[in-house]
Amino acid sequence: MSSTKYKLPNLPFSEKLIYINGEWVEPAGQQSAKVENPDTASIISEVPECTVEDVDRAVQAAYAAFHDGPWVNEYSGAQRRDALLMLADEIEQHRAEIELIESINTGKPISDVRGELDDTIDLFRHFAGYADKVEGRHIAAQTNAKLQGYTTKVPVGVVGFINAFNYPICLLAWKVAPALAAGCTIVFKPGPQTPLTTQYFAHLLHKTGRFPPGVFNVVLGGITAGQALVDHDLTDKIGFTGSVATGKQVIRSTASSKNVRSASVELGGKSPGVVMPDVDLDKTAELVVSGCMSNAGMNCNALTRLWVHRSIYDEFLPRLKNAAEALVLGTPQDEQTQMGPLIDERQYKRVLEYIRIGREEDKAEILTGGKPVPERGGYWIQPTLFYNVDPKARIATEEIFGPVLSVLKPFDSLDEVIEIERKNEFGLAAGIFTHSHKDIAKFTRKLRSGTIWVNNYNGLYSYLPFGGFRNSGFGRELGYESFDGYLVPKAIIDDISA
Amino acid sequence: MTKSSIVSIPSNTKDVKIMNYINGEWVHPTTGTYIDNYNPATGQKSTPIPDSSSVDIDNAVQAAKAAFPQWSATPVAERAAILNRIADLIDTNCANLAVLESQDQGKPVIFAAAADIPMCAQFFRQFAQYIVKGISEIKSQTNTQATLKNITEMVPSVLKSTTQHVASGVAALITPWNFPMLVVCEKLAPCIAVGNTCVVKPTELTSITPYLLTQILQVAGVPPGVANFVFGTGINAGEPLVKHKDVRLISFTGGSLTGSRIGGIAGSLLKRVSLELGGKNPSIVFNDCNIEHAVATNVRAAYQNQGEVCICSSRQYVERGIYDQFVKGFRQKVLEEVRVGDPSNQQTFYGPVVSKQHMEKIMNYIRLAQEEGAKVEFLVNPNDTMVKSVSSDGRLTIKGLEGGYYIAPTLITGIKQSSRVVQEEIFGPVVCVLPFSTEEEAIILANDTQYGLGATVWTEDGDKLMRVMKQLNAGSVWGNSWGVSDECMPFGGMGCSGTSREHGKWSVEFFTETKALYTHNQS
Repeated sequence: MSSTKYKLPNLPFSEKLIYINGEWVEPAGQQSAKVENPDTASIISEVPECTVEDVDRAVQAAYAAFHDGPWVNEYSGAQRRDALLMLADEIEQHRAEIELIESINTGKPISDVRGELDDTIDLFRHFAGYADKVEGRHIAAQTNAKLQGYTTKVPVGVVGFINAFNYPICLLAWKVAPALAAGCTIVFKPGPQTPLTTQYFAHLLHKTGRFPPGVFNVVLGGITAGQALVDHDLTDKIGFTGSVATGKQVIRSTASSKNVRSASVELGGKSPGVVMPDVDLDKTAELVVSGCMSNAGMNCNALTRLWVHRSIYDEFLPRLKNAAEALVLGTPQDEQTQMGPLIDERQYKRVLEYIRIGREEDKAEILTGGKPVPERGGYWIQPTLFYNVDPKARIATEEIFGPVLSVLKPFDSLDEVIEIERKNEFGLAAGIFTHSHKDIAKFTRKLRSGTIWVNNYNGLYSYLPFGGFRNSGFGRELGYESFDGYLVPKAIIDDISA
Repeated sequence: MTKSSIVSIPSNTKDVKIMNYINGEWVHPTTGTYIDNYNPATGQKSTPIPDSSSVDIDNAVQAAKAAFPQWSATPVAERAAILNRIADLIDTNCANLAVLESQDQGKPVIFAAAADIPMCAQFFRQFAQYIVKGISEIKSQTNTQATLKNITEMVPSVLKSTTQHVASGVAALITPWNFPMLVVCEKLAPCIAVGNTCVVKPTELTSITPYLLTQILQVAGVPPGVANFVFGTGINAGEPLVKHKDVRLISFTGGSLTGSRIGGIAGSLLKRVSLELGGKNPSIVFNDCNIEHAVATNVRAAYQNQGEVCICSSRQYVERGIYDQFVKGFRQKVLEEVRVGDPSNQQTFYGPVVSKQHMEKIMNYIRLAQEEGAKVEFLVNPNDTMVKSVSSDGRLTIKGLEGGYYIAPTLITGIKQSSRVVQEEIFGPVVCVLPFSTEEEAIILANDTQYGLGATVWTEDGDKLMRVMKQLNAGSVWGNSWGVSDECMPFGGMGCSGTSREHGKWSVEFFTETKALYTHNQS
């Protein structure tokens, strides 16, 4: 019987209310949704399912706050910066509680959550640093010196965010920090499975007293609320993290409403790793397994298809097996736990189905894992490695979003790998393990992936952009590029002749 | 000399008569005297140089000053068109310019024609494009709380600010003898592109191609007074130029000693100054390098242009595991491929050093190394028929060119890090090779001089390459390569190698004044 020694702390906000226009208000409808602890599949909370009306109310608030309120019209960049710094401080002060809530709601190991809170706090401080540094350009026009041309950058406006469930508070920071720093106002919808830390965040934001009403609003729910937000004409931009299918729908919606809106979409990946013969095999096996199994594989840039050079293939497999089997599964809130469950039943079934496809359709062989872990009560699956997988197999090409790694058939030349990866439907991330600077140069130059790791994997930083090519989406999060994505340049031409 | 629409560059220095170029006219120096100039390949006298004085300098500065208002107001597209014409004319006359550069400086004609002269044209094209694209200014607009009406009342307001880069005025460009025409163009192009006017004072050792450039400038349509050239010595012409009250800024490339003097004068007169000085550039060669590539490049980096290159690899640190192999390979490569002799000969890798005085200076270092007990080798192939003899201190006597200033490719090993020969810039075909044991030691040794201009690192390990490159205190660091450049990158040195950065936007920043303009209104 799994442990119930970790309980959700008393929440400093009401789970029945939603945060709109600087107030905690009753939702318009009666629908609610249960919130689970996926470790044990037990219910921990119940929150509203917002209606079209709730979403409209939130967007109207964000719209008024942007066009009429002080956030952009009176506050200086420095004031927005200070607001964000104060918010970072609040998150830091309450981090222990937020970490516990996040771990219980998502099943993430508590040690991982701590790293995610470090990132969250860092992101608000990092993007605060941009808030007072918005620059335009001034160009002395060519032959006619009497004309003055210059640009000014203005915030894009009202941004609607649809967040995924896999990094609730951390991805919130990715989106919200730069958007607020740029002067935008926001309506934010967390993944339906993971509303709690978003609500907590809204509570802390309100507590700072530095964000005028309507600057940040939260709506909860699934498809209904999501679609309403994405369709809303008063939004100026939609930021989305989720599946390719839904992402394409989001893009369509931004084009087909009365008002064309811009979008930034992050849609997943099937990121390849390449192991060359000149590396430390033990160290690399650890990096690969962690690159795949982190967050139980529910990580858009997870390393999920692995190329291993023929000359080290047989030596490398047992090391991968050992590293995967060494992962400690257990109560996520215990310090020593290294991997958690899938987020919900739907994801759990999907991953098991892919394991079946791997065995029966792709005819791939299992190196380790492949089974659920029913003793814990929740949605647990063992870390699973397939080997000798055909690069075209379904498990090697479709995003599984679970703890499943396909070790492909051995390869002989890096050139052949690069050629095959050109046809990868996705282009979010990739990794290469080698010390040869020639191979590093070739791989990093030729691979059209948004992030490429060399001799490490998964590390993302506030100052480097993250995003994809092809079906991994477009737009960038993190880095200056994400901040710039929330700004629009205006060009002004002035005749200054007498 | 009459004005012409065609540039006629002769093919021999005998047919060149150098005159000052002031306010669009070629004139004699007011003293009427000329300085002797020598062809380093033969040691024979070549075309003499005007011995200009402060009077000539003053005339030139006045011309530049008078031309400034109109030139700085000339629309950018027009200035760019002129710069592009200069580039085209340089390209058209490349062959003859290369021959004359070689006769004046000593470098092989093929290198002057393939690299030096074309690069001169590139500088003009690059900066023409730069100004046409528009110098990008920073513009900011922010809400603020400020006092507008009286001291106590703060009201919401909007502050708009923008930077504005403007031409500075009259510049002094003082140039060296290792790349005579190239360094003139490197400075002249950005200087006049942004609207400045200038006086160029090339070194008296190599004034021929700078003089020929004035003919190109004339035909290209550079208005009188925009670029003036005054030839002469550092003392008689250079110093008055640096001190002149109407010179606003100085760009100097040359030796650290002179640079220090110019910097002192400029500082005391509050003039802006850019100093690009010497180097004693390390190369670090690790066990896991591509040794063939490292040897070939390091030979080139040691001896190209007679070693008269500010970024030459004059100290080479080789990891012990491949030390013997490297030195052996280096020796072999030089003996097989590096021929010293007549710069007009296609087989010649490098020619004479620039002057007798410089040759003596280099030989002093060679003798010093010998006195210290280092192993000093002159890598001259015994089958080389061009070489008649090699003296005990490295001077080569070349058949048919017995008066020329040739020095043998010199390899020094078994020398201490603290030796003056390792620490000081020799600026000749003399290289010291020293062993090292660890990565940490290599970095310490490489950083251990007063200079910091260039450095190279050789290893096939990608992580180590970057790690080491980032720890070297040099303005330009090359990984598994040497000397290549991207025109948008900065160039300059640390420590005694200089005080500034030039090229690309750094040149634009140096040659312009930056202003901040503010307007402030109630919201």
